[in-house]
Amino acid sequence: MFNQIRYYLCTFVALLTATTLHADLTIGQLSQQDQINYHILSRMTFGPTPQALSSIQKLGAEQWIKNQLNPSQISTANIDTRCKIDFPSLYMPLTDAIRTYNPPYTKASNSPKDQKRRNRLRSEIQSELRNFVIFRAANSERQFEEVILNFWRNHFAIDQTKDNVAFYAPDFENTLRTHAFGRFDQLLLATAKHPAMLFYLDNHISQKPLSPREEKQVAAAERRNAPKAKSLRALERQRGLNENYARELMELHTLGVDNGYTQQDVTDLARALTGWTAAWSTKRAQADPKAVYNFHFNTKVHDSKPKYVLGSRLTGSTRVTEGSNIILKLAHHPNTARFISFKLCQYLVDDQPPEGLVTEIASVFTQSKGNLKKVYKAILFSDDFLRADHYRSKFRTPFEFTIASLRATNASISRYDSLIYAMNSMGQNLYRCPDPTGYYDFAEAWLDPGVMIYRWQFAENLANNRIKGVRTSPIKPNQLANYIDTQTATQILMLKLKPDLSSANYTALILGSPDFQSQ
Amino acid sequence: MTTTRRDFIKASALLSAATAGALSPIAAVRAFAQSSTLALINGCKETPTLITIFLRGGADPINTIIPYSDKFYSRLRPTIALSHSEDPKTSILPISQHFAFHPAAKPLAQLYNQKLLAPILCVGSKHPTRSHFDAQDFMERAAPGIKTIHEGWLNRFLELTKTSSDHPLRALCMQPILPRTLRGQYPVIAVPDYNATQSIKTFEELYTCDEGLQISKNNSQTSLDSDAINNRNKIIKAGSLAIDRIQSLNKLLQNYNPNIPYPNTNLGNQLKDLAAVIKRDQHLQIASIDYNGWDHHTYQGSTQGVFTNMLTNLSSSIYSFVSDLGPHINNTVILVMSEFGRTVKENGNNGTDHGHGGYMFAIGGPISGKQILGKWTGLDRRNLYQSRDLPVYTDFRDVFSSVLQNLFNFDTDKHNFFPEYDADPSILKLFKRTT
Repeated sequence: MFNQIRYYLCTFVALLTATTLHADLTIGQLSQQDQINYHILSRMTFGPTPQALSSIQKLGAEQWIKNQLNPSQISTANIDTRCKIDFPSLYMPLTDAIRTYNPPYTKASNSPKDQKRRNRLRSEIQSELRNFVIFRAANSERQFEEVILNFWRNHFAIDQTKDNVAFYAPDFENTLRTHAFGRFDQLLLATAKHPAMLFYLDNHISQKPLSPREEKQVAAAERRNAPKAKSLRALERQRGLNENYARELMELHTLGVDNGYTQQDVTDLARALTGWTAAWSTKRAQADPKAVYNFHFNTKVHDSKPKYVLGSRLTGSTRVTEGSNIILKLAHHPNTARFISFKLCQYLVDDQPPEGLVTEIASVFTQSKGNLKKVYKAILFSDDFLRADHYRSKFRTPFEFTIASLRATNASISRYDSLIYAMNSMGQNLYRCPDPTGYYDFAEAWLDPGVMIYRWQFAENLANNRIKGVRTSPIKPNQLANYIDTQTATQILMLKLKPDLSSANYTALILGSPDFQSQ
Repeated sequence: MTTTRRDFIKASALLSAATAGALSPIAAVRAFAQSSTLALINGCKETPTLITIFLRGGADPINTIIPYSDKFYSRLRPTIALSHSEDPKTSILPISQHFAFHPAAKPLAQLYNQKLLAPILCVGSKHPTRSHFDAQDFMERAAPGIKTIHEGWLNRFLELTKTSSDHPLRALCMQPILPRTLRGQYPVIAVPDYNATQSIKTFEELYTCDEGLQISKNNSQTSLDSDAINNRNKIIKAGSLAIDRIQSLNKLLQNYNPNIPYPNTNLGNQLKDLAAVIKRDQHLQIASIDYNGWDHHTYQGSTQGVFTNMLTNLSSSIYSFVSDLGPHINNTVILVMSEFGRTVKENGNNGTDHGHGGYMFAIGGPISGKQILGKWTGLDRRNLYQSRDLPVYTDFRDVFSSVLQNLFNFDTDKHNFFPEYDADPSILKLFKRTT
């Protein structure tokens, strides 16, 4: 397979060397093979480093890619110990995490002091997750795993600030990690049954709609404006269907927007998923020490009438499998294969991935029954992956830019808030995307002119060690070629690289240069 | 009930669908023409300006424009209701027999009495969502329930009306992140919240030197088609645009002395900067500001507390801005909005939960002030949405449409500006009528 792409590699190298180097340039330059390695690293890691480059040189590109496709074979022992200490909520079962960070309510729970403590715990569990993501993206040897996680985290975007999602989100992150190299249908089903998703997209309050007769009862009682019987109050609480999750499940997670489903499909899918909830995070549930917070099917609010989605009646041996069956069907739908393949190609190859590639990958997706490892592999070993015109064609998102900067400066991090703040200023709020669509994965979405100033400021602050809790080392001149193009950008950069420039400011210029903004 | 109904008839511009004095498009154009002529005579800028302030979190209408004569008001809000009092600092400020401003909104009451301000009641999105993100999204894109529109309504306006000679400071955002209202094709610059001079100095050469672009150009001639080069050019262009805009902005803002002090708050400072741009450059057309933190589920307070403090800040900042503008207020409109209102009844934590109908303030010279706009049917639960919230009688798109039409002579119908909605800008008599 690798031989097939040699031809493309050659074109690639030819293009890269099209301009000759400035005669006076004394900085390091990359060999042809290293330029290919550089491109592979720029897409499969959060930024090439001298260490990563030597690792790919040692193993050879093909083997290096294969290793990265099997993350469990790569040890992360060097960072795991610290992760367990610094981000404990990521290493707890769901229920333990909730008990620890959102402890059962007692009579004292309303006191201002206790409120304060609760707020602190909430912000702790929120920070741990975001910090964990940053730390691992910057430091894990399983770089491709982190890169792919960044994709799925965005595909199944949740906002940790909504309601009580904060307490479920670390377990959600782990769920994505469990399935990211497995099968898409299992990944999808795991998110569908995850309380974080059910809460985030309101499925937990979606209940069977009132019958016309019940509606009349409620309306009549409203008019009387008198105390109501218990049964009536229960009816009132039954707010009815919430289509939020059902719609996003088809629009964002599987088929793609308006791609083969109707409003009737949305409504019936929502009805099939009534009762898909998790133990409430109400005070009463909180006070119950035996409460379980995992997925829970509430038969009482399930709509058991017949439903039709995508042209056929839903079936299942139980009421829950009726829902999970249709989710599996959606996972294996040809439109899903194409939609997911398009997004993955857009992420790993180009903002506008070649039509032929997407078709090819979609068929791998279908034939392998959504085996994600095979899908990634097919993209990485495709003719298009190394095509010369995809070189540096992706504008780095704020997250990618920030992590690449941390890696380039070999940063050690003891505090994350300024990093999170900086990414937010550049337009990306980690685990807090305001929109279930996730962030868009093309340059136009990020290239606000004003944002460039933030990137420059971040580059300067980072290189000069002015970011609280982050310590960096300057980039050595002989490693310049790891970060920017020696053929083009350096010529501009040379204008600025005066002998009296401090090594920190030299580093800042590299991080803030046009080349470093793309990968 | 009779009082509220009478109140509604008296206070509301929406008498009924049949008798509403609909402003015909021609009259609207005339009104526009006249207001700009008037403006010029008075030494006002030529370009009309719209500034939107988004109160994020769902700002409480009922403790802002207080229906004090409604018997349900104090009943439903036992700990957070306000009333008349001896102390002017805590007493409500009546503006009609039935409505009063919160004491913290005293500066706004002054603008109201100067006929520069009109509150719009029971306004919002007909979409039932009580989710912050959906509701904000729908309002900012002006497309409730439609997720295929990704651009903010004001960006769409800027893009549809752009010319090749657009002034560089036509649209501005004086905060680090563009609100969705301003996101889209049209390049609006979000101005950093710190002094960018140092960063610009460091990177200016790298992003503006001719040689950089020259190299790119040469390269694109030698290579077949390189996205990398295109991508780099885009990055360089974005950087140099930012440098250019921010440098001209800095010049405008230098040594600016407002006519009146502003509160030293984020909002106050943003409005002060915008006033400087409006007065000195006179080409600003659109600006938007976010004001976060209006989600008062707990300890909202009545005459004191976080809600009062925020309302004080909002009111005094706007008051300073309006006073500072001088004659330029004659064709400037400030629109204050929020994604939804809050429950009429207070909750168990001395706060209020997410509601439905909200409020807006329309402020400025062209606004037909000193009147309370929008249908109002009181706080009796039989008249509430789902027995708990203020209903939405006025679709927010009618307000947006009215502003675009009257201020910029932009016909939202012609451009199918609000997908799946026929906006009726005449539904409120929001703008001064000139015949």
